[in-house]
Amino acid sequence: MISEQDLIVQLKSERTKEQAFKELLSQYKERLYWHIRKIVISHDDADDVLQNTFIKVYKNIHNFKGESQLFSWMYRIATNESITFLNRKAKFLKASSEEIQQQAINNLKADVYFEGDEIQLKLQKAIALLPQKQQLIFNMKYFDDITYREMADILETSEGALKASYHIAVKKIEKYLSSN
Amino acid sequence: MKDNKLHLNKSAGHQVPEGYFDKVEDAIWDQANLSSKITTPGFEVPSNYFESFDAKILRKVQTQEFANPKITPFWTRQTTFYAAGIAATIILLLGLFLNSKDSLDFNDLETVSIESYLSEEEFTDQDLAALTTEDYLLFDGFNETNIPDATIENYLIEHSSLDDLEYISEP
Repeated sequence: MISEQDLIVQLKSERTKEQAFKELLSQYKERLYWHIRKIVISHDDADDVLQNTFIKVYKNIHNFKGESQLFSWMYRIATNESITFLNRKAKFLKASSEEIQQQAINNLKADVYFEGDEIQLKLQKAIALLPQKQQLIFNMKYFDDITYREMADILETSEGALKASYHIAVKKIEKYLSSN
Repeated sequence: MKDNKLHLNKSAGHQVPEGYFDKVEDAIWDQANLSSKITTPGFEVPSNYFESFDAKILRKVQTQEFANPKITPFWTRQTTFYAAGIAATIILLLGLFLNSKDSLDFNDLETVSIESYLSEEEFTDQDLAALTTEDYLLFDGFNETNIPDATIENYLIEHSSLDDLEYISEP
């Protein structure tokens, strides 16, 4: 597998950009898809956001200064695109982004691309009740096992604050699952 | 006091925040409970979604590239400033050259300047005589002028004396 540094150099060269972009897609598309999917919930929405994310990466790779890892930079774009997508959808439907998320969770039972059991559905409901940042932190740590250091880079928050937020989120979710 | 809230491990000197062990126990317990129940979120993707994604996104970025080809603008802010500077300089220089007169004619002289020149300079009779060579000062011109006798008579009565008449009477 090509190193991140080489991949960045190739992505910035017009001659090798396309080939390097194919490599980037193969390395990161699934990880970014699952990250986006957990935020926007439905597959169709996740597909839209994933496409927008990669188009943005392709167009803005020359602006990437290498101050963070390529992976962190792409995760940050994917996170911002997902949140922007939810806000835009909420504005269009004249609702809050929380209401949109609740609506997406309520639709999960009928979603053909949700194979979760009752407890997984409850977990999604519990996550949707958390503040947006806690949702992100919980999903990234619990399901994606992203380190606090990487998460601090992606979300531009201190590691200490992330740890505290994660433990609070786990506690709230466990409490919700126990009482429901 | 901050120090009083910390548990002191006397053997190594390391300290932990107050209540840390209770909190960490809760955190581990919550995490363990949760992960024993759920390990995946339960989402699925359509079959072959990831396999077909690459071709779809590559098609899209290529279409966008052709739709919006990279254009290097000729009139960048910097070139505009340079061009404006050069144009202003040319206009200024042309203005200076076109408005300046290489030669002066007699009409450009002020009457006062002529008077002061004439009063300060000395002229000989020859200098003045040279002026009479001009065509319009030839004596022939006087012959063409008809002055009625009555006008001459009146002029002589008003402006002449007996002394003047002596000169006139001489042949």
